[in-house]
Amino acid sequence: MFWVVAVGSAPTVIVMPLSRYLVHRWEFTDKAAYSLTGWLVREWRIAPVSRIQGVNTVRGPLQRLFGLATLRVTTASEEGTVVVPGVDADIATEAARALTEITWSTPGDAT
Amino acid sequence: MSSMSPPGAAEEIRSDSGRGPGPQSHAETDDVPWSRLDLRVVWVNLFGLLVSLVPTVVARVFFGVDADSGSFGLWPALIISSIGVTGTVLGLNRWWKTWYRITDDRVELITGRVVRTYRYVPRERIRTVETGARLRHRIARLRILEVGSGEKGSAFKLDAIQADEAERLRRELMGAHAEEDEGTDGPEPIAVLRRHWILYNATSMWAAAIGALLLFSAFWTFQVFAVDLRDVFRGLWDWDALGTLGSVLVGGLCLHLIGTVFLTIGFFKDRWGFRLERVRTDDGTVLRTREGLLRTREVNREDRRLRGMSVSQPLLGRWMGTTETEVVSTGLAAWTPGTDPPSIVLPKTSGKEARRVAGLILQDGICPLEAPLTPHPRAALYRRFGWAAVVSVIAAAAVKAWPVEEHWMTVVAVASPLFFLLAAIAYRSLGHTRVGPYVVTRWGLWSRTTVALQTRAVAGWRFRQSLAQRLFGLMSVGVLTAAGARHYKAPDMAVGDAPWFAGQTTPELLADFLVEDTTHRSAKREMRK
Repeated sequence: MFWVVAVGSAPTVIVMPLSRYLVHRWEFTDKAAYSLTGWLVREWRIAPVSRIQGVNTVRGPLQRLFGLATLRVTTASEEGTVVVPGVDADIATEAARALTEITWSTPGDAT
Repeated sequence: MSSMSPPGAAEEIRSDSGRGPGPQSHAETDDVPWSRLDLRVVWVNLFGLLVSLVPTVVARVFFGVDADSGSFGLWPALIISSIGVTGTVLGLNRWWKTWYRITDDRVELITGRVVRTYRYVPRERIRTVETGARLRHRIARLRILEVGSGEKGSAFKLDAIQADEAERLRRELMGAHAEEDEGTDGPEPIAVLRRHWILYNATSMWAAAIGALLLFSAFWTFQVFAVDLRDVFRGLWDWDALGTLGSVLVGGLCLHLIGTVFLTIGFFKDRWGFRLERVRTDDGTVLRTREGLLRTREVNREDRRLRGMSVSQPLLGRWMGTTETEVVSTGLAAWTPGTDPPSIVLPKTSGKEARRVAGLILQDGICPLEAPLTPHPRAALYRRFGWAAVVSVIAAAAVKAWPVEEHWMTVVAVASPLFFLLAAIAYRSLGHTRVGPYVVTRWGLWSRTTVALQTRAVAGWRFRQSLAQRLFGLMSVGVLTAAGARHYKAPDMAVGDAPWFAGQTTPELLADFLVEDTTHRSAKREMRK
């Protein structure tokens, strides 16, 4: 039984974090927020700055332990939320601040 | 009803102003009086209470039902009555604790006496105003007014106010309809109810399920009077002579008939006097629908928030061209309990009628919904065949594993080709293109949806690729927008075409993230890794 569980969970314990680390990418420019996430299913999301409604960072207990944060960029479309998990907390804060600034200076009605 | 100030309302507002939109003071709006719901709501509710008590009284007095009769005794009657009593108490409570008013810049609502909630909608955020009435409201000349502000549900509901007051509020919030002021009959309607639309609206693959639900509720209704419908049906027919298969067929057919009759009645009840027209108001034009026999409904949709249109065709109605027509607008509630969402501008009609109406609504002569679409690569078909094979194998394995009768294997053997047929149908519905200012996509098996969305409404992209899609060289594209369903999809495009398509639609947005892939064919571009 132990071996069944061990072998069964091996992909999620070893392969998943590694592949996620290798795959995940993100970039905020003065035009758009962009992210690539996923493991078995890869997902690219792009949100134009003129449609951004909010930028926030979320930190769970485990993330706080490792000094990480999750960046969330929300738009009028719920499915369009650009999520960047596991970014260094300081970088995340700085990126959120910078993107918020760009958003403020970009005309657009966020819809 | 009467204009009065709710006790302590003014102080509450002031203490609430911290949550308000900014520094503007309420001083100049404080003298706008607060209104209450109409007192007739109370009488309507009391009448409702009396009606809800009828089943219990009838069951007890005339049928002599008591705790020991039938399978459930007096309980069903008691439950119905207590639901009625609860509704009445809630209605009274609502009248008792609701105040509203319209000031120059916002609509305000206060509910509650002990715990007071204050809610406001800035007037420039109001996207739709909908008035409706059930039969009991119409007898009492009351209307339910719903204000939508672009959230998923309705932002604001006044249940209920006088019909005149509702009309006055609608005019004040949405601008008067020009033709009403001029006293003319108004413009030529875009569409009016046609009798033969019943064919499209009463034929449904779910009719049997609706019939079953009806019988289920009838079962409980008759339990009130200690009549067991199960015994009645057992006596109707010699079921044993029919055998299992025969009984299922006859039963299913009856259920289907009952459901169809119900749908027919429902169609005329909801759509009676249906009229779709474009009406001029103080600030622009609105698409207005009016309909309803017992329960009337009027929906106004501002044209300046129109971002496109969509039509969908159910799989089993496709042979007769059944089509549902919707507008894609910002600020329309996507889901409303109990009624069709306000985005549906036409009952189900023929495809031809839907195309005619779509052309009149969009007005630009482009007819994006009729544009020829680019089919998706063959790999998308193979991927769907893969799913059909997986489902067939699982079904066969399930029959093998469970100790069921041998002939179930035959059922699976017959069904398998059907799965592959469905896969092919699903593949054939895939398509996408760009026409003028529109991006058009089509997808769906049970309901094939074609959407034409203005490119200016595109508020982002989402590309997805599963393991299988990577194997087949496919990629699913999601068009994100603030309008309509918020998210429209173009599943299984070729990996090279997906970013190219998006890049063509919103070039300035994707330019930074696309890389030219020179190792493959020259036109191929990829999402940057």
